Amino acid sequence: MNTYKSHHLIFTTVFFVAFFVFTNILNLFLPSHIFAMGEVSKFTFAQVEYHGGNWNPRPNGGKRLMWELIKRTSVEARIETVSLRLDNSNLFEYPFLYISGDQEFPPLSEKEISNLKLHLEFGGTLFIDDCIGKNDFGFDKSIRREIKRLFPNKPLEKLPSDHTVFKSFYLLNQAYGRIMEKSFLEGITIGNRTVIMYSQNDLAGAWAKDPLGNWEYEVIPGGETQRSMAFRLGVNIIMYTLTGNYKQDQVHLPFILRRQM
Amino acid sequence: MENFTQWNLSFVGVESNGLRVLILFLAVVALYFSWISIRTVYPVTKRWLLLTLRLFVIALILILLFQPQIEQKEVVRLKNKVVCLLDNSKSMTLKGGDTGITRFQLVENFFKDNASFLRELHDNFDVDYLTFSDSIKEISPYDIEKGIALDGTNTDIAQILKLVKKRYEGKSVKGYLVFSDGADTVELPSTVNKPDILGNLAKDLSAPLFTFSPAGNMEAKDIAISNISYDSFTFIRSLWKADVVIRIFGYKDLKLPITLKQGNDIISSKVLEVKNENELHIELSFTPYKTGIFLYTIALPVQPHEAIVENNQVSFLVKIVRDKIRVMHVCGRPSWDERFLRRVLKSDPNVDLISFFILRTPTDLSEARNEELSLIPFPVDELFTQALSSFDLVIFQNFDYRPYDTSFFRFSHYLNNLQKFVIDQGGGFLMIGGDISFSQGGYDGTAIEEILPIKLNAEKDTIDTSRLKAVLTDDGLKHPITMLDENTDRNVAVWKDLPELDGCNVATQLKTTAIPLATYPVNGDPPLISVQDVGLGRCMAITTDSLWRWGFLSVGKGGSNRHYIKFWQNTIKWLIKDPTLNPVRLTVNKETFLPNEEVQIKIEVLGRNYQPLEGVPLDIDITNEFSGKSIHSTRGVTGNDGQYKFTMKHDREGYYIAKATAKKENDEIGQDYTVFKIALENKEFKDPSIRRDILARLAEISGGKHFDLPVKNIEDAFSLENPSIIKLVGKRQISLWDNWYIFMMILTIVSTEWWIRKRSGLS
Repeated sequence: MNTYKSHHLIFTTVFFVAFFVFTNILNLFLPSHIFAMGEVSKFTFAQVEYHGGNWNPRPNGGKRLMWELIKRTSVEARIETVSLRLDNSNLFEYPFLYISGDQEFPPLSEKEISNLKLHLEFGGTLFIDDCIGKNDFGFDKSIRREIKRLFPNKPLEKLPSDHTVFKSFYLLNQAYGRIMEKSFLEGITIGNRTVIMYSQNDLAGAWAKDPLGNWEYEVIPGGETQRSMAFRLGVNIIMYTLTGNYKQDQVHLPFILRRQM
Repeated sequence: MENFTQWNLSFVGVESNGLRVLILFLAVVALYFSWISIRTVYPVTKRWLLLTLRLFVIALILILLFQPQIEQKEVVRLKNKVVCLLDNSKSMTLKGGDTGITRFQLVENFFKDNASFLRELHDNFDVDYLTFSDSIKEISPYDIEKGIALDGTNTDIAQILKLVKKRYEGKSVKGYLVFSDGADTVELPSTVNKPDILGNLAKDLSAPLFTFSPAGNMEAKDIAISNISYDSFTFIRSLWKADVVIRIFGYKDLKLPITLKQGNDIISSKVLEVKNENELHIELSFTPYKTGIFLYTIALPVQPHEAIVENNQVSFLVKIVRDKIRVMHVCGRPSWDERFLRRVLKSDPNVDLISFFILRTPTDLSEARNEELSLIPFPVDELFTQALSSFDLVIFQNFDYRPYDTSFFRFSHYLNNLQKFVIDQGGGFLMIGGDISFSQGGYDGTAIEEILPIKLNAEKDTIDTSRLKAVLTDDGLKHPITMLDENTDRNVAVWKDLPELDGCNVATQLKTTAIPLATYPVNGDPPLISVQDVGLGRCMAITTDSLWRWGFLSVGKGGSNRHYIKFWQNTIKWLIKDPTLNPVRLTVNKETFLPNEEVQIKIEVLGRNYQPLEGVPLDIDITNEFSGKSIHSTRGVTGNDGQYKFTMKHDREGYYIAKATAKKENDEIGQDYTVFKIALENKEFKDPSIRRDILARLAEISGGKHFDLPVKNIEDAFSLENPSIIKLVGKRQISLWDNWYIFMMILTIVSTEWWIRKRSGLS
């Protein structure tokens, strides 16, 4: 470890300790009503557990995204993520689901499939993050199989670059992640709502930071700019989940078009 | 008319004159040969006697052949006709300018001033008198002296010319004297040339028309609302416009205020500068804030010496309906509650949703330049000033207004606008809870607190985050918002089955005017869902941000989200005062009736479950819109179809409000009203000008002449053709040959001759 890295580590540790102490002291003086009504009413990053494979290759990715979401937007979110299986009775407490992996996994149970289908059809959203980004290999092979079981008549389709998810908060032109395997997202849309969004760029890999504040994975090929864009896409996905096609409303279009020119 | 007898002799046996000459020739020849045969008979007296007898016989034979008969005719000598047509429409009651006399008085004066002419006319002609407006009626000349009812409400000259032609078809009419102001009220398409049509009809009468109209100094002084172009139905919160045409006769240099009233309330007005114009076009407008049928009146003040005051005011009914329900949804931060509510609103095709979500607060660090963000400025000024009245419902969901209460945009001022929107414009307002809503959003002491059904107190109000189920109140059992199932028992069960909520803004003080529909079962049972009527509008408070759980979690438990959707549908209907939620509905079979025409009124009463309610006593009252005087009061009871029907008649013109109140066991179920009109259609005063041009053209085309009244010594001005007419009224034919004495005479003569010849020894 060189001197720069060692100083950086010390500085980061001191900063976090100081921030923790400061925020807790501040909380003592602030009135109680600044807290959101109920913790579970906040946006919660709910990660899907499944048998076999590796359901949690980026354990710190979601948490970091929530931290950024709170910092950057008005959304009230829980920093801590939740993980649960699709047959869990609490599944419907969490309208946003995140599923990730870097390996093949065995088929989900019928109960899991039917629960997830119901969840998505009645308002839920599923974001899929392939951490290795290889077509028809490993996680991709398994997840596409499960999506076919979910919606046999609705294949995954490339989301156009003018899809609301690319302008729900930040104005983006393409998909980003730790790697740049695909410049687009795929998805399944029911009615006017995209219920499944699928990235093969390992988004959570770009978000993940260890407890000492270091980025866990190098972002290639774009480096930190690409990481920044990956966070923006993450925020946009959450915003799209919460506001739907709000940015497609007529009142927004003139502003957005002017900025995209 | 004069009776006399004519005699005629005719020969019907032989009609051909040639044959008659031939027969006479043969008779002479026969007589000659008779003479030849008896010229030697002596004595001479006998010879002449025989000749005479033969002469008689030949004469009698000729009579038999010619069959003479006498025709006796009874005939009368007839007079030619003259028809006097007198306009008895209401416009003939108008006083001319400053003369102080009416148009019809000029007509009456004509008959007085020209009495000798009329006497002579009666001596020489058969004179008919008819009054006309859009039909004709025969009168006697004495009726003119006694006074004619000038009550025609529509002058249709074309129709009159057709009726006159039909009436006098084949009769010898030698002239029509027409007394009228020519104010034809029939409106024809612009492509049709009315004077040409009238001219052709006048020509068809085949007799000259002598037309008499009041002279130029008889033009009425009048200011008239001659036409209003408007939509008889419009949409709530949309600008309604009326194009008004005002005609001005005999006035100039006026300042003329014009007002538009709803009932007795002035809702729009303008002051018109009148210089020398005869016609002004102006536009009046207003924005309605309530659905229903309403009476509007456009009025101009009466001017000195104005001939017609009736046309200074025009009333009409406008039906105000709802197009799409315009909802403004302002949300302080994206959340699941917002997300699921937006989904319900967006999926309803009747809702036009405008959303504004605060995606970033001033303290958030977006780590991007503004150009890289899709965020748009929150158009507070536009939304809460000009555009506010175009909405039916405003929803504040977990929205703290204070960050926008800057020196540039005074959001507290916009809250006042919102209060007026509810109270004065009948809008709906809903506040949904959350950590930055109600007291936590700084609304205590603001104009919004005044309209909310709950009192706010920032010191005492807290947030309770217990996960509990909502509890329906007694009022909630009956209220259309919380009726998630038509069956009361099932509805209670539905509420018990709804998933738990995630906390509530605790505001324990419900206003006395408010109705709590559901409470949250923590200390003090604070209101969770409460409503109240405020002024013309309605307001609702939902003190939680977790109603989304009723939809999504119900699905997860194996149920459905239909009760969640139903709750929001009910809520929106109630907040916008959707007429379908009114348990009492009063309808009238049409909007306009003639005096004494039957008005059919139907009242329907629905129960809490929106099914027909039987046996409900009704108080019904029909009052005059302007005077408020009751013209018909009755009571009724609904039948097994939940309806009560009755009819009434009234003879007085006017606008009337029919109002029904349904009560059961002293509790008012509801009330409804509608407006209808009783009126004769009177177009006479729309344009009071005297149309001398039309009358002159009729006279010219028919070969007559036009005169301006007053006219004296009319006999010097024109004369009428008067050929004699004789009419056969009866005839008798007397035959001179087919009777017994002719035969007896022939027989006697022949026998006598035979006897003489025998005695004389002649063959």
